[in-house]
Amino acid sequence: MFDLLISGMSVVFAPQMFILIIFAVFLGTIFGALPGVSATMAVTLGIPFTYKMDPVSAIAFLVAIYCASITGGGMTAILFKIPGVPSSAPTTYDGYPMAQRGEAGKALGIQLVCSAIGGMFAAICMLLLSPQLTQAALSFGPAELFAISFMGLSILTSLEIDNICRTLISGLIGLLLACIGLDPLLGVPRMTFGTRFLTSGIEMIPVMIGFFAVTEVLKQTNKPSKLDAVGGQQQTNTKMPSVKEMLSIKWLVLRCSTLGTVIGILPGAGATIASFLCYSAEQKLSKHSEKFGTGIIEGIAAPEVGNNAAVGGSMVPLLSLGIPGGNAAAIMMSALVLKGVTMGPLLLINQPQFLSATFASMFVSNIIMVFAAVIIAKIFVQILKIPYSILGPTIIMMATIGAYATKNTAVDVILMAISGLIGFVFVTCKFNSSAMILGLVLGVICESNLRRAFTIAPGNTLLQSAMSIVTRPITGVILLICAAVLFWPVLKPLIQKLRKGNEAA
Amino acid sequence: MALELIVNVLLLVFSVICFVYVGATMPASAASDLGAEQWPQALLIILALALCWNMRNYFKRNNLKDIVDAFKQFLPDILDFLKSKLFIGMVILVAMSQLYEPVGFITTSLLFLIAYGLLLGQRKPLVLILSAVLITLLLYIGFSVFLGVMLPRGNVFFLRSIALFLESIVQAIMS
Repeated sequence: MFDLLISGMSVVFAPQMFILIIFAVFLGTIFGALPGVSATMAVTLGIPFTYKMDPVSAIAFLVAIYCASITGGGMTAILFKIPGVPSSAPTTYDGYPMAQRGEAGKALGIQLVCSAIGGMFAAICMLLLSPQLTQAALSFGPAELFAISFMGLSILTSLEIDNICRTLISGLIGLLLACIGLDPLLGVPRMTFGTRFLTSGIEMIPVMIGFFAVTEVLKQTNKPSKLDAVGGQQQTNTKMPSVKEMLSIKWLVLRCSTLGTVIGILPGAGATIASFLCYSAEQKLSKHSEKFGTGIIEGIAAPEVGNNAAVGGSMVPLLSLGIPGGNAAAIMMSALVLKGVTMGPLLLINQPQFLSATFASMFVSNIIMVFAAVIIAKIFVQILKIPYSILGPTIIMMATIGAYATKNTAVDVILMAISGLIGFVFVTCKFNSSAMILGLVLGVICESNLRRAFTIAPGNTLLQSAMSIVTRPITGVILLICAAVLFWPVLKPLIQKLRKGNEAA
Repeated sequence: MALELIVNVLLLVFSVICFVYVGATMPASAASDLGAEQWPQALLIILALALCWNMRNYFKRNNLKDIVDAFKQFLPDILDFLKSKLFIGMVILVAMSQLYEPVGFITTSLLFLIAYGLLLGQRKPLVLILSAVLITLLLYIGFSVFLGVMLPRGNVFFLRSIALFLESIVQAIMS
């Protein structure tokens, strides 16, 4: 193990490679921060730089970009309510209100430090537990994966405790939007109403950009007062979080790092599920859950630790079995295949330096990232001081580029604009945009895994198949937890009412 | 207030239409399989129930007189909305999304930044024009030159020529 560690560090700390990793971190953070440039796209854009590198250096370089891009995504989520990557969506819930209060520096500081800790924790786990965890993940079937993604959905009833019904409606609309397009198993067009552009489904990025960024600018347009700055009328504070504040969330960081790593290891479940799940879990565990969504450090730390830990986790099946855990991992795999590397279980047996270099790169890039991102974040914070008459239209223009870049089609720009308008109606009617996005993100994963589970489950009727799914031990336990989490906010007031009634009697 | 009820009713009607449509257009599934139509139909049933519950809450929250008043006020509110900055902003946004590909990034960006900046209260023409030019340039260089993100050049002949001419200037400076 020690030799492995030394060999990994020797790859990363070779002068040329070290400079390249610093470059990759800057590149990844900026890519991630730009809306529409997803983590996958960031890794793809990094591939040309690896053409002249050897395979081990190439994976180290791409991993650095991947880690940094996930972190960079949280920066625009906090400052502009534009999640740079889908996994940063929950960061907007508390990050943006905090930035609005003039505490952008603190929000970004929490985000960066927590991202780095999550990433480093996952890197250590990846090194130590790689083979064992991969075996455990492989024993998970579609039923277990459905249960895990459904756990992400169970947050729905607790996103807005005073507005459960409307939040549920919003989540269901998101789940329905995810049904539009080609059916994931049969490949037939579903709910497309005969239109061609709906056949490929509702693209997540333009909708997300529309609902979060465009709606926000429209809301500001509607304000009767003269607008000067988005960061409220207060001065933007660039002060970073204190050590005491960081120590107050140490257990949260540990819990979310563990959860994020485990989620990352599971094939198909990635950083997005991890961030939503960590946010939901911490909201449940918190003594002041009602403060979530108002701009508290726990609300930023949970998703950011989770999504970065999932990045490390997703490298486990890629390196151990040659199974990419997500899109970005698939791009990395193709980059290695291009270099003639044979992916699969023999890779780590014959060339263990791949694991050690990936570990070293993740560990080092997460440390560099804090310094690199602090510089980038300080520049981004200054952007908040620009008059809103210039910043607002610029946000929409950046959002437009992001939406167009997804597939290079104007349809996505129109989709973004429509989403922005619908998002505004949503806000006016007190529906919950975050719940809608949650449904849209997790809808396809949930449905495809559930239907696969039904296909392979024994039973002659739908009921028999359903029974055999829920009686699987892991699935059953997870679904029970989901049910408890889902119904608790509904049942809690009823129980309290009953108790009060009994006491009065 | 009236808008909320209208949106709820429209969503309910749409749910019913979708339920029938998805059932009629999907292939029949095996008895033990969850078919392509069953997942959306299950969601639609829950959605319809939730919408009914939400409407029940709506009527419970508001008294009938207020609801009637809200509907009486709905048309004047719509007329006020049509005159508002928000509506103009929405029109500019939709126009931009429609023009983005045919007119091209550079022209659309310049026009949009000036129009929306004006709407948001920027009254200094020099600031407006200079900021629009600078931001367009920065966005173009950042996304197109450095990141290689495709930005539309436009389909209208002379606009495309202008875009190509401007791009060649930027690229000449960059190199």
